[in-house]
Amino acid sequence: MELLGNLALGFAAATTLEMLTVCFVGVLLGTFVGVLPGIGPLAAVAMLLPVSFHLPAEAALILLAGVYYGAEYGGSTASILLNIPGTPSASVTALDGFPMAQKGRAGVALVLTAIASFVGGIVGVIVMALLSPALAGFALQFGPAEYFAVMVLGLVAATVVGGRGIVRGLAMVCLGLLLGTIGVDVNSGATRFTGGIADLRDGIGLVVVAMGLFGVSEVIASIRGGTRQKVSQPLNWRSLMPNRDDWTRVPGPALRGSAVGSFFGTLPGAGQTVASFVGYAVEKRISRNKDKFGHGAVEGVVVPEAANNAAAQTAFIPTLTLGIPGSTTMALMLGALMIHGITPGPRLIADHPSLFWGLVASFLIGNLMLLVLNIPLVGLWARLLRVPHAMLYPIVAVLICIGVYSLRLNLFDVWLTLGFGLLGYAMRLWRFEPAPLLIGFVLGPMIEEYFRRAMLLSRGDPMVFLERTGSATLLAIAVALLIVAGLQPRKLIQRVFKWS
Amino acid sequence: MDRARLTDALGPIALMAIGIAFAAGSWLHLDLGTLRRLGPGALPLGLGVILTILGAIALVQGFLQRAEQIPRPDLHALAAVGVAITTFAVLTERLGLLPAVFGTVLAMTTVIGDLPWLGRLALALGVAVGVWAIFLLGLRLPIRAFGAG
Repeated sequence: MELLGNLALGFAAATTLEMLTVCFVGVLLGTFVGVLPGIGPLAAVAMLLPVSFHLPAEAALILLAGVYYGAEYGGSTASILLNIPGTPSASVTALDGFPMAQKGRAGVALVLTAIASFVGGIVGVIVMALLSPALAGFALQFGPAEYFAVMVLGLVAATVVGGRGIVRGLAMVCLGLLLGTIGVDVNSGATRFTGGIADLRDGIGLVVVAMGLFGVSEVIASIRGGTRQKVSQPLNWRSLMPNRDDWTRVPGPALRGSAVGSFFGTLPGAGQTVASFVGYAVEKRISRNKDKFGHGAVEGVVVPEAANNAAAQTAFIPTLTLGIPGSTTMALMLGALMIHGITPGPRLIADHPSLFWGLVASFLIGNLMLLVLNIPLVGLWARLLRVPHAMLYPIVAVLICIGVYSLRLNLFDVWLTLGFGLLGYAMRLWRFEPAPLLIGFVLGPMIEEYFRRAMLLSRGDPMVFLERTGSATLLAIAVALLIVAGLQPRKLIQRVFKWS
Repeated sequence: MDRARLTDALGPIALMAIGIAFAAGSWLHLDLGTLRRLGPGALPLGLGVILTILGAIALVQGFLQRAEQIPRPDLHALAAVGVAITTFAVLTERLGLLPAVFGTVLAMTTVIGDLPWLGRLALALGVAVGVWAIFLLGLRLPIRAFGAG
């Protein structure tokens, strides 16, 4: 019954006109960037970070989260119509979605993915509402050593995501942590690595790093990609309606996909892409018409979309209860919280109940909005794919510049963003993942703080991290993850696929 | 030693250089503290050393594996983005936000070169008006629309 009371609190917080507007704008923008290949939810969230500073904390989070899960809805559109995933996690949807489109059933595929996304999203939110308070209660017993271990686990998870090998991933985490030390050290007041530049005393802004590494380098990399794609699918109401046979293939796969997605979403580092891959593999394994998979099976679009939307919601569980971001976008959410003066961690739900439950309520509302937005507007979103890149990228570049500049009205930040953009582009060329760098950058100050505090409490004995059961267990999991990743996740995924 | 291998090695070498720079900087200029009371230099020193080691491992791995061709950088795209951001930074300071936005779009579309002149001007004007409406009128960002600071 406590849950109902909490949900009532959440709905009261999330149904004011301001919050509803913010939620609507968020999911609309999210769908928009999800549909367009190239600009991902990450770049969009990074671009909106500065705007969100002018909003109250609750509204800021609802907006950013809306963009994030809205993009999961939109990501399937380009997968189905063009065989180019709008978001990485939608690449699985293309396996059966594009063959459906070639058979003239694009409309059906788009409608079914919207419904599957809705089911996945709702299941994910329910799991989040049920699981988060329990996990936070457990984590309240943590001391500085455990916090340090949790963050190490988060960083290791971040390197495993990359898939470029652990050494390269860990190197990027270290680089991120080091960049996070630039500026005045809060403990001692000493200035570190500023090279005498006054603009660096407050450290490098999260927005600068995120916009440079993901926004600017993305623009450089995709500016001259495909200029104009052919989308010649006539979409009218009749071609959208799934037939009775289609409908019978939705409920089971949608629920199984949601279950798989909910599980993988909570694991830091696994995320939506792994969730949709595994969901697809499992479904193919148990399905009675295996041979239809890959040739336009309805289940093949329903499962991955349910899975990645469920995972998008449950990814908030470790972020909001432990303060570990499971993905780069989640790291930006943490950054947004911290900028509003809210410390992420197990006390968040108890200290800011209207923030947490308001967010849960807004997810339910947002998913409903997305369902309504997506089905009637399928044709409109499809038409969006015809916008030429020559017009799109100058607009994105301007938005990046204004976003960075508006933070502190400091042009130094704009130049620094260009620098990080060049760094990000070089990293792409040399096959280094920017995601672990950003997660290291966000967690750096916190990890240093907890490490120093744990060492102080143990009177300088580093064994404290192994003597306490909590931190020892967490560090053991981190080591295990590293070993598993050493066996190369690509091969593991391929093996899962062969098995199906 | 072929060219591809050499370019590929530049990435790990750069990482090692960064690691050494941070470690040396902490060692020389910052207080390391004691184990009990770690100073501001302790963590960067440790991380710098770890980064150097990781860079070295990546370097060796690169030599052991089949060399991967580093793709040629897209200089045209780099120029477009570099010119755009530079225009923004230079013009915002001297003329204000809206002329800077207009100039940024115009400069970037000119370097990309896919749009005709009229299209470039129209897009630049449209984006400037949009920025004015959304950011200055709607969100009330405290940025000067016109004029030097």
